[in-house]
Amino acid sequence: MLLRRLTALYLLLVATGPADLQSQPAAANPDPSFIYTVAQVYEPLAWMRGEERFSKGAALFIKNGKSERPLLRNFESSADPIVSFDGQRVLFAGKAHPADPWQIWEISLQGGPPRRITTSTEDCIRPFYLPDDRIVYARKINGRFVIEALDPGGGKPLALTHIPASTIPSDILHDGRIVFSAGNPLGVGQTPEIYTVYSDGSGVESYRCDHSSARHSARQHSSGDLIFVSAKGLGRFTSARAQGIRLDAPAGQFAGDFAETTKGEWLLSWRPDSNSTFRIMRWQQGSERMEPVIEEPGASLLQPALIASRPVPNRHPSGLHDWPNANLLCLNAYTSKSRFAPGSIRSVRIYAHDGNSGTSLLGSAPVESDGSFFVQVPGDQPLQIELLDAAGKTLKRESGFFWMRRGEQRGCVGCHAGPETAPENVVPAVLLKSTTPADLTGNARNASEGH
Amino acid sequence: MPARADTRRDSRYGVFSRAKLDKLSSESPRSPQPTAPPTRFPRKLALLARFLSVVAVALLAIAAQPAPRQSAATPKQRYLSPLEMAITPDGRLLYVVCQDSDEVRVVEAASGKLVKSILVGHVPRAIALSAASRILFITNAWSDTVSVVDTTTLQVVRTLPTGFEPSGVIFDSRANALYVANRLSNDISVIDFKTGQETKRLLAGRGASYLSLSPDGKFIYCTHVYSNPGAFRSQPESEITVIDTATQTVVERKPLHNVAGAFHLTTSADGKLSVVAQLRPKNLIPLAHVEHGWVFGDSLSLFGSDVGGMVQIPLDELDRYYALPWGVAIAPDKSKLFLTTAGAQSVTVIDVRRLLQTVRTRRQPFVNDLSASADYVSSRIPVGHNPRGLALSPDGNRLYVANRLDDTISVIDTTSEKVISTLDLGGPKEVNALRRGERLFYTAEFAFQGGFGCSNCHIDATIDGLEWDLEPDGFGKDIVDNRSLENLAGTEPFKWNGGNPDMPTECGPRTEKYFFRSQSFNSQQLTDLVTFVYSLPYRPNRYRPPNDDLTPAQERGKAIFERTKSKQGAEIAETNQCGYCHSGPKYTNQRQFDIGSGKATDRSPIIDVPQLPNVAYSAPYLHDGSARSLEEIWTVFNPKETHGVTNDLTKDELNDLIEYLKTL
Repeated sequence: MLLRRLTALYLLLVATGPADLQSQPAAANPDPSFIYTVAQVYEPLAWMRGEERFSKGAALFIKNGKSERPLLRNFESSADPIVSFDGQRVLFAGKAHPADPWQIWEISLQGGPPRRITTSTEDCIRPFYLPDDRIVYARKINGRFVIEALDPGGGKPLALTHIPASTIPSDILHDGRIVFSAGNPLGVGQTPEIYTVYSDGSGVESYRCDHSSARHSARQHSSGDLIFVSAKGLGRFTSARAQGIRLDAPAGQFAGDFAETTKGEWLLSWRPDSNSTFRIMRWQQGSERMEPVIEEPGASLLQPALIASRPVPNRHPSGLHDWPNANLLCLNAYTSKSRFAPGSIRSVRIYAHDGNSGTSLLGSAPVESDGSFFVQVPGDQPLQIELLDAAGKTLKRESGFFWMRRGEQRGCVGCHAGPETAPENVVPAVLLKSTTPADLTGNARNASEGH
Repeated sequence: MPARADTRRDSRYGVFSRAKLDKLSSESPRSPQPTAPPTRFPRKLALLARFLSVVAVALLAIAAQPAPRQSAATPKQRYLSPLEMAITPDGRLLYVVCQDSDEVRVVEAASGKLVKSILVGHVPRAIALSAASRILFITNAWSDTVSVVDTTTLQVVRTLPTGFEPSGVIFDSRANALYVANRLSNDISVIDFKTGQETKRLLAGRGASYLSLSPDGKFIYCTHVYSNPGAFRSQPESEITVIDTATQTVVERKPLHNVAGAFHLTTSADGKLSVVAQLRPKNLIPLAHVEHGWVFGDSLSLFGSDVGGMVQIPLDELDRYYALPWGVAIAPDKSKLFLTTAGAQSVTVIDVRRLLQTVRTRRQPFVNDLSASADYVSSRIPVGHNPRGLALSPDGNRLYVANRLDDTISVIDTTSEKVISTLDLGGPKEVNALRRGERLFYTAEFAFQGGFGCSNCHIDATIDGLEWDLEPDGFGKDIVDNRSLENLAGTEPFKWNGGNPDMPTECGPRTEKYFFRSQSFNSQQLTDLVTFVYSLPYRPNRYRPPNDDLTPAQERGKAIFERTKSKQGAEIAETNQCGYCHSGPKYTNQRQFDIGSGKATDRSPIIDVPQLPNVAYSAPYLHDGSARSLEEIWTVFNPKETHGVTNDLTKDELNDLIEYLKTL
């Protein structure tokens, strides 16, 4: 099948030339053009194990009107298409030769050869455009995927995620944050969950805290809602609700990566059951049925990406300081989805992942009577928080990990308070005692760095 | 009551005709004689002076900033800036207070057709219609007056003096008494409408601004745009001042906890539910980020028998904020509550039944639960720029929303909760740099998730009276007081440590990175914003006598300010004389000094010298707001005489010094 399509690619490129691939104003096109991925085998969550999603290869195709054609020639594999904000370029993951790892490439829709962007000996997949021509993608390092950002001029990539598990981006939100999937609890869990992080790697958090069954591959709808894949089909996060809600879509399985047309229709990769292959369907919200757009016997059609301009998300102005460590202020540890007896929390410990399967204690600090604590921790490392009582007994220990970027200063409303909880306006008692954080970097020489 | 108010009245506003007062004292339908609106100068001269001053300021602003340049000076046009409205009982006419054109426009509610434009005083702010709808009252914030308009002739027939910066106004027909909330004198004038004399001045909270009459006419509620003075770094506390109309006395002060910025209040027709639009600032925690309601909580306070005690409810969502709740109205059948969110360019509609159900179900306070609003908000309706006042048609079918920075009124069908038309009030069609800059100043769309805008802290382009903990300095370090924006050209540098050399630096990258935490103004927008900020003039100084003819106390204070020797005859070092730092036309030498006011949490004791004009309006004082009054600057925070020599002064002499400073 792929061979047939690749042959067709050569003939079509010779016949029509690449100019046909230019972006068209979506509003003027009643049947919008889009790029999609064709694959014989697709394992959507293989990345969690650091494994191959397309074990038998994949190829990008363009659908324009009734015609379908390959996007590339002389490429062993290509997948993960994302169209630039101006609708003129396509970023994708590709293998030029069979022995190559997946790398990030870009091709102009106005013609010309693809340009290789990453140069790694390991796989780089799932690219997205950020504002200011930065890009973000997941690079496989030591068997797990780490999200990185790269400036337009190249240079050294910036690692954004710092946990002992795989992370993979799924969209850039209108507010500029990167939405990504990872196991829950973060860094250790096997159930995929949805998280966000700023494009400088700071502010990582779970998008919602109603953790239950698997959900992943979140994309943002023009309304601002996030649409994600769940075990029961599609789900939705709205701005107003702290819990995800089921999206009333036709039964079946969805592969994620929906595309929204200017007519408000969604292009979805769907299959009726796990014994079938995915095909691209068109669906209008509220409708009980979907219409097939394109399908291919024996192959899954995935990742529809409209060839059209779209709004540029907000750029995140990084406020990271030039410090090796990070400062964490908790306003009130009692503000939590866990219940703690008043006055019971007396100290906090911070652990760092030791690089294997264990953790090492960085230090402990007192928790004030109002539940506040202020600590300095090492940047860019997996960290874990533990709350203790007066006897040193563990009241609650974080089951997963989080990280703080070097130079980050973050405040938390509480300990697992949930994103729906806003802080009360009161001076935290710990800041009345000292504005210097307790040194929990594991290196006393770093105490009070940056102050 | 400040003595100056009385002494000024005769000279500034003339003597009222007793005959005219009698004619209007009982809502007579007869046509009274019109009187000219009150101004300090002839109107044309005043307008010319205002125009020229704005041109000059705009030119200065452009010249002062090195970054992106405005292509040409952009004088402030006579935009209308509709702020508040009243509607006739038959729903036919809207009376629209136009803040920037100093007029009330009377328009047909159905078509927007202009019926008449009525010139009133300077910077009109609020409007009230008498019970019989024969008289309109309009407060003139910068004239310190109320214009009285006969609705049959649509002419100003009387002008009554008030306290400083009159804002909200209510007419109690039964007692023939007019109540006016005075924002800058923090009190409420009670005026006998028959005589035109102010009979009482009731002490309100700081920033008394909006008044509302209970449906049974027994109480008047007053809300405040600033919180009351409190201890340093304590939670802001505001109040609803409750006045018994029978006794014309304050009978209760309902606390609004952790509120700084309370705006309109309304009560349902059955009197069982009252609602206040308010801001809950988070000024006591480090401004580390914006998400999760970390900077402001847009909210309502509810009280009345429907809810029991005072209940605060959130308006925001997890990922979207509805900044600056301002105007409120409740449908006649109490089914819906309508609220303008001035920074979010929208109207929030709340289902009252669901709201009350939520309040009764949830026993614990939930004002910090950003998921709660989903239980009672039925829609968010986009409208124009900076929506403020709103008016419901008597049948409740139409909601009129004043889009202050569009010169339009959105008409909303209250059933479908959709905008069905937009009435053009006839302002200038060109949107110039000042107007663009003003829109930028008042919108919250640039902050992360629409959290807040410039005007959240600079309420109505002034201050908020709060101290903030800004993150870039460290957590709990360098607490800073909010500074005035009046007439800033020539006061550079900015920031309390003088770290920002110009306004583009102050409003540009710094604001983007450490306040909004999101992509903010582009080059042109920054230029427009700076142009607007530099155009903000001084508010009228109420303490400066005409012709600068200082009172004896002020003269004595001036002598203290300018003295070179202590009372014991010792020379005061030049650098420790008041006029050394507080020199020049704006009483700042634009330099930075250690005046001994630094705290242990400050990284450096070096402080930028603040300008002094209108210093009376900008409490608290010192860089961190630790001095609640001017007097505390010297009696509490100057033990070593590092901030001028003041410890030899008696209480009376300090009062004299303060009297003089207030004239600057």
